[in-house]
Order: sequence, then C-alpha cells, then structure tokens
Amino acid sequence: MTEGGLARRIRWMGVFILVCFVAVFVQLNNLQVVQAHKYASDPNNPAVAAARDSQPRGAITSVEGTVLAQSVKAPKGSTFAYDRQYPTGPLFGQITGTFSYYHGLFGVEASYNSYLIAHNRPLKSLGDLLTTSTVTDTVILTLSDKLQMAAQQALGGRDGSVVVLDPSTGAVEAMYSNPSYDPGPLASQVAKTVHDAWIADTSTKDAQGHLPFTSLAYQDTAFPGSTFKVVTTTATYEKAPQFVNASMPYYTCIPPKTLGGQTTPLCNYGNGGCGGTIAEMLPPSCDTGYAILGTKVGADNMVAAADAFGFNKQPPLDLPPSPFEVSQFLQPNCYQNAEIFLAFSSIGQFCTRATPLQMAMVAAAVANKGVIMTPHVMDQIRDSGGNLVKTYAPTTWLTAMSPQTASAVNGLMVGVTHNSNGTAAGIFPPSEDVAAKTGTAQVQNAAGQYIATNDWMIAFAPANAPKVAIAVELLDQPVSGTGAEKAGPVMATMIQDVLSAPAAAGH
Amino acid sequence: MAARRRSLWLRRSSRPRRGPNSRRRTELGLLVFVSLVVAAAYVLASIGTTAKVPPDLGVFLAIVLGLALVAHLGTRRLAPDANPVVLPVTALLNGLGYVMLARLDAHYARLQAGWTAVGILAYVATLVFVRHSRDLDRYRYLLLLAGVALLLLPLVPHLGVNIGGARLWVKVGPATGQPVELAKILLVVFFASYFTEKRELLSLPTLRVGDRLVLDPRPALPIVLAWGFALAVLGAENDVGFAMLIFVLFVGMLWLATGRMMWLGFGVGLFAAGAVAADKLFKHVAQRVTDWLHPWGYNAAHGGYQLVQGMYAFGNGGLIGTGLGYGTALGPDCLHSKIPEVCTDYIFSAFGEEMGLLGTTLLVFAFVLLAGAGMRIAQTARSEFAKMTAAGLTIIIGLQAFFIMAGIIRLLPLTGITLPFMAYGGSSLVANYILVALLVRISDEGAHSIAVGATATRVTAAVPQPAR
Repeated sequence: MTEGGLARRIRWMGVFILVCFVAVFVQLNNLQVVQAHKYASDPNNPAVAAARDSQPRGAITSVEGTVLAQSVKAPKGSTFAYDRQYPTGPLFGQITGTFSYYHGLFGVEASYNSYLIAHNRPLKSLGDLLTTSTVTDTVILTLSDKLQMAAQQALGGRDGSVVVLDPSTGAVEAMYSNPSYDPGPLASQVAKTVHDAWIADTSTKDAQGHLPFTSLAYQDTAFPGSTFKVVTTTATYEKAPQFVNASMPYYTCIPPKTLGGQTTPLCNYGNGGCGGTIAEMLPPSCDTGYAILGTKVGADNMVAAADAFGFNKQPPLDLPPSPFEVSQFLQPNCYQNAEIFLAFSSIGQFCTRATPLQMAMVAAAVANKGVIMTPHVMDQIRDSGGNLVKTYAPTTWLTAMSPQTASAVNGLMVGVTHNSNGTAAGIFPPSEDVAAKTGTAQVQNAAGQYIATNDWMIAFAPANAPKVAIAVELLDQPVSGTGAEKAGPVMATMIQDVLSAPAAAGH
Repeated sequence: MAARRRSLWLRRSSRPRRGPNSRRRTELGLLVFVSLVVAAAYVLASIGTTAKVPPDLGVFLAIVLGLALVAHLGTRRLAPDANPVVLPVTALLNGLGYVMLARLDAHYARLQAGWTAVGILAYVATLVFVRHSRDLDRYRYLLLLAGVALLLLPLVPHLGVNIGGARLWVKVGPATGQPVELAKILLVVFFASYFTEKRELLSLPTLRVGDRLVLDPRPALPIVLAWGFALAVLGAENDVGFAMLIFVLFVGMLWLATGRMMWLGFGVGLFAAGAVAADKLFKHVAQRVTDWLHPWGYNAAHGGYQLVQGMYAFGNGGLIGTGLGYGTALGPDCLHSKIPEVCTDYIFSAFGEEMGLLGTTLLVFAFVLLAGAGMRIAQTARSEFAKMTAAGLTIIIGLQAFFIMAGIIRLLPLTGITLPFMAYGGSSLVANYILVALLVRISDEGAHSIAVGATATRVTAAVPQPAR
C-alpha cells in the first residue's frame, strides 16, 4: 500500500461522512417541509396546546356574517388568556361544536381547527421571512342564521330536525335539530360550569330520550317511513325497469303468509285500499303496493340503489365523523333472508334507518339530475385581513340515478303535491312548484303496540329548476299524526323562507 | 547566483513565522465575523424571550471576541500555518450552542461559558505541549493505558454515578464529567499509532496455509482485544452511543490503514451480529429500536415520548423556524422542558424549532465543513501516523454529530451522545477543543512540511549536484 492509497482512502472516508450528512439534510427536509404541517398541527404537540390555550382563535360566522363563535380577552386573573363565546347559543351548537379546555374540540371547532388556531403567517413576501407572526382565520359557514332560526321556530320545541341543502353544490344552508345545546358553558374556564354543562348535554336525556349533544339531524338515525319510497322507486327505474309499468295487486292489507316469513298482516295507513303502477302508487303512498314492489325488485338491487344514495356509507360531511352518522339499509345485523324484511324495509321501516341529512340528500339527488354533491358546512375561509384563504370547491359524492330516472321521479314527486290524491296536496301554493314525499313511520313498543309516529317530509323546489332540497323530521309524534300533517307545515315555512329570500350571500 | 536564490527561498519560507500570514488573517477575519453572528443571535434570542436587547450585550461581545482572540493568538504563535477554517467553524458551533443554552437555562449557560474558557485554555495548552504529532506516537502505550483508565473510571464505586440509566459520569466534588469524551481521543491516537506500525502485517498476506498466503490474523489480536475491552466497558456502562462510535472508528481506521475490504466486511458483519445480539440481550437496546420504529401510539407515552417531542419541534420550526426565543415547546429551563434532555443530547431539536430548516441546514453545513477540513488536514499531514490520527479525529467529530442528529430525526435508533460543541457538557467541550487542537497541530505540520518540501525541491534543482 502506498501513501497515495492512504490519501485516496481518506478522501473516500470524507465522502462517506458527507453522504451521512446529506442523508441528515434530506431527512430534515422531510421533517421540516414535507411533513412539517402534520407535526405542527398534531393536537398532542405541546406547541399546539399552548397556542390553543394562550392565543385567540379565529371566528366562525354564518353565511350572512353573523358571528357564531369568537374569542374575547378573559378577565384579569383568568387561567387562560381568552374566553370563547358563542353568541347564538343552542341555535348553532351542534354545528360549531365547542372549544373546551377540559373536553377538547367538537364540530367546526375541531374539523377546521388548523385554520381557527393561531398559526404561522403563510410566507407571502420577503419581509415575512424575517418577521414571524401568528394569524388566525375566520371560517364562514354555508349555513344561514335566518334559515336556521326559521327551522328552530318551525319545530317549535318539538324533537326533530330540519336540513336544508343546495342540491347543486351540497352546501348545507340550515341544519337544526331539537334538543340542542349551548356551547358557551362547555368552553368556560370555570371547571364547575363545564362539569355541569357536560353532564346536562352529554348524559341527560330529554323526555323523548334524546341527548342535546347528539344532533338528530346528522348524528342519529330513525325510520324514514314512506319518504324511502323515493329510493324504492329509483331502484325500480334503474335496476328493474320491467316493473315500472307493472301493476301491483290491490290490497287493503296483505294477508299473513302472502310474503315469505310473513306472520301478521301488512296494512295500508288508515286501512285504505290501493295498488297499480308506480305512477298510481307514489302520490297516495301505497304501502302494500311498494312492499310487494320491493320484493320483486329484489334485495341485491334494492341495496345497490340505496348504497348509490349514500346508505351504509360514512357521509363525507366536513364535521368530525362518527359511526352514528351512517344511514342503514338491510344491514346484516337486522336483515334475515325473508321477503317480509325486504317488504317492510322497502317502505322505510324495519331495516331502514336514515338521518335527516341522508333523506335531504335523497331529495337533492332527484333535484340535481341524479347527482349527490358532497355535503359541506364550510363556505369560505378568510384571513384577518379579509383575504380569501380557501373556498369550498363543490365535488360530486355519488351518482344515485340517471338524469332520465331523475326526471321521471321528479314528475312523480310533483304529483305528491299536485294530484288531488297526493299525500301533500294543498300544503304548498302551486306557484312554488314543490316536489315532495311524505313519510309516517310507526313506532312500536316492546309489546308490538303502536305508540307514536315519526313524521317526515322531503321536498325540493321549484321542481323545474330546483334551488333547495329539504328534509323535515319530527320524532315521537302522536299515533294519529302523519308526515303531511306534522312535517308539512314546517316544510311549507322553510320552502317559503328559502324561495322568498334574496339569493343567499356567497353563492 | 545559487546562493542568492537559496536565501530568497529561505526568506520566503520563514516569513510566515514572523509576520501575520494570510491563513491567520483569514482566520481572524472569520472569527470576527462569527463573533458578530453569534452576538446577533444572542440579541435575537433575548428579544424573543424578554422582548429586550440584552443589557450585557457589550460584555457578551467582548467575552466572545476575547475568547476567540486567545485561541487565535495561540494558533498564531504555536501553529501559524494551520488550516484557517477549523477554529472559526468551531467557534460558530460553540457560540450558537451557547446562545441556545442561554435562551434555555441561564444557570447551565453560565457553567457552559466557564467550560468554554477552560476548553480554549485546553486548546492552547494542547498546542503548547504537543509540539509535534510524533510526540504522541512515542507514548502510544502510555496513552492507551490512560484511555483504559478513563474508560474504567465511571465503574469505580463512589466515583462513578448513574445518570439516566447510563454509568458514564464521574463525580469529583461538585463537578461531573464524562471521561469517555477524553478517552475517545486517546483511542484514536493509539489506533493510529498501532495500525501505522503494523500496517504491512495487517494488509499483506504473510501466513502460509497449504500453498497459499493469507492474511495473518495474529497482529490484529492485541488491537481486537483493546477494542473488545473498550466495547465491553461501554457495555457495562450502558452507553450504546459511544460503543457504536468507537466500533465504527476502529473499523474505519483499520480500513484506512490497510485498504483491505476484508476488514471492512469483517467489521460490518461483526457490527450486524453485535447489533442483533444487543437487541436480544439488552432490554434498553431493544427498547431503543422499538422506539425508533414505532414512536407513536402506546410508545409515545413511554420511550417514544422524546422522539415524538423532537418531531413536533422540527414540525413547529418548519422552513424558517419560530424565531430564537419563540419556541413554545422548550419550557422554562433544562429540566422542565417538554423535550427531555433539550440542553444536552437533544439540543439539535431546539435549533430545529427556533431556527427551522435554515438553521439546521447551517449546522449540518458547519459540521460538513469541519469534517471536510479534517480530512483535508489528514491528506496533507506530514507522516502516515499524523494522517491516520487526523482522519480518526475527523471520523470521531463527524460521526458523533451524525449519530446524534440522525437519532433525533429518526434516521437511526437514538443513541445518547452529545452534539460536539453545542450540547451542554464540560468534559465534552474540553475534550473536543483538545481534539481540534490536535487537528490544528497536524495541519500546521503538514503545511510546514509542504513548504519545506517545496523549498527542498527547488533548492536541489538549483544547486549543482556534487560529482560522485
């Protein structure tokens, strides 16, 4: 070995060390540029907690600009420097969620936390390189506080929900349900206040057994009743068109043992008699005919059609997801392979459970030529200077049916309000051109007695150029109640408010 | 004619010995520049934490410049032809490390300032006492003995102390220190000396097996023993970081000396076997590997906590950092930081948070410069022993920085060793200043030998050869 050999090896050793440091440099880029945002916004990051607790958060406003949540300086001597206020109280509680020092983040406070929280100003100029300052953004929702308040008033304290969608964008324009909760006390710095509110909101049920913290509008399901016939109708057009013009037998009650597994009669509401083709059955909401139609279309076709509307799927709403938001149709834990299950489920009972948000999307699908847009509550995000940071770009979630089917079903739903035998006849002024479907789901107790009804209506208007799709749900109404009677007036108010309002801001 | 030329060359080669040569002028300029950068960082950190320009800014700048000047004058007097980059880069690392410590914990910062002064005195003292690198070669076994003694020191009852599970520290009165920091230098010198002497035996096949000549493993025996001993001691002291560093140093220097890929393969094989064995035998090693692979989730609450806090710090820093003094995860002092060991092993993550990718890149670049200068010094060193020593010292400083950086950013399992010149720690700082002094000494010799060599050639060419 020569001296030159040693010099060469020393050079190679130098190259080796250089390569080591290059690897460090590459990984540093990975950590500090590529993955920086992920680490910097991780809720377990102490800097995130410190920023959360010591700095003001951005505001949340309605589409009109009404402040729904804001940070204000806390009185001297407080543990944390800022208090979070919710001026509208329970009206938007289930949407904004709350910012709790003790229980964490919920609702929009959680899903848009990375914008609301104080974060480093994005680099825009050379000067920003030298001065690091933090900013918060304002989250502007698609929800209108006027419509939200109209929904609250129309429900009149009864347990139930109103969901108002723009069918062409998926924007949620109102989503209110009773019972609701005031996010303010949960955001308090006083432990006792938070504790009491937490008990009241998350584990104290109201008379009908519902928790204020859980939104009936999108976090809980119920039998949708006959409103589900829109899905059954669509399934027939899309999957089994030979039955579109087939005449179903005329029944008052389907006698026991007519359908596989049937032990009791399946009767129409008020024991009326009906049958015939879809066009004859949808406006008067013929239960016996649709029950038999569902069994003819078949379980596989029905499930495929329901899935195409978003059943059995987590809805991609931009609020923190929970498994209770999934609407169900013929889930294995309910459905047993017998015709009677399918018959009842086809008319929105038994193995069919839906959130009002899901049923609003059913109406929206028909209104929007078969396409369901991704539902969303965020409209825009603006920085403190009012500059646009982000706008929600509408995206397609599902295609529920072809435009031809949508047009046909649209016509049938207009029949529900226009035909003299339609279940919603006379509820809406003809000028509004409303297409609707009512639903009355009977609630049984353990002994099989009917003790209450869930009264529903879904609608969109104007039918020839839909601007809005709405679902109204009233839970635990008297046995005598119907969708038309109970949900109808709420729907009429909502549609009138939407159509009479000037075009909503921001659209 | 010939005599005149001769005197001309002599005068030229001797001039740097008296006046300020250009290398020293460069060094002085760089040192002043570095002092200003460090002072600027000190002001920014003070504004970040207290929103005020530090009242002792003048004193601070005077002390930084004073310390730099002492080191510079020492070099100018004792090693005038040495590489001009090594000292300023060292000063930059030390200065920025101090600024970060001052921002993290005033008490530790005061101690570190004292240790810096001691380190610079040790630097000058090393240049004074080690006038020629060959002096070290002469005391090879004495140095080995001293190294072994230093390694064993923490195991002595009443003298050694356990900190954080590793028995690495020695406590004398109020002062604690890690003797292994000094031992690493002695081991480099011993390896260099031994390998240089036995190079031929280690690299040429001299043992006849049948009708073939193969490498005789016998000369490697003492060194393998020495190395095995070092590893065993570090194993007993529970110090994975230094064990790994010494191992890589050993294999690297063996390859440098012999150029036999066989030794490299042997080393890699042994390393793999050792790593697997350690993973199986030592619980804390297995834990480190688990933390490295899965720092999140359950582990985040346990061993992965430190790693995850480091990740957060780097994420918070992003491209440009939060600004000195603005890091939120760092806490009020060294012991109450969200990031465990932020003043020692984990100081790199503090830079990651407050100075961002720009800052960490600067530090990486500084270590690359230092390692590059070290390898250049090794190449131009006068003797083979000096070359080997310089290369070994450079491997130590480069890889020690690499191991701890790579551990913090999850390139490698985390090993608890200090980031040279930046982490808090007196023994580490003083030892690394001695290390740099040795590099400077070898550099000066090398430059001198080149100058003398060049003179000799010119002179031989000019002076007529006497007839034989």
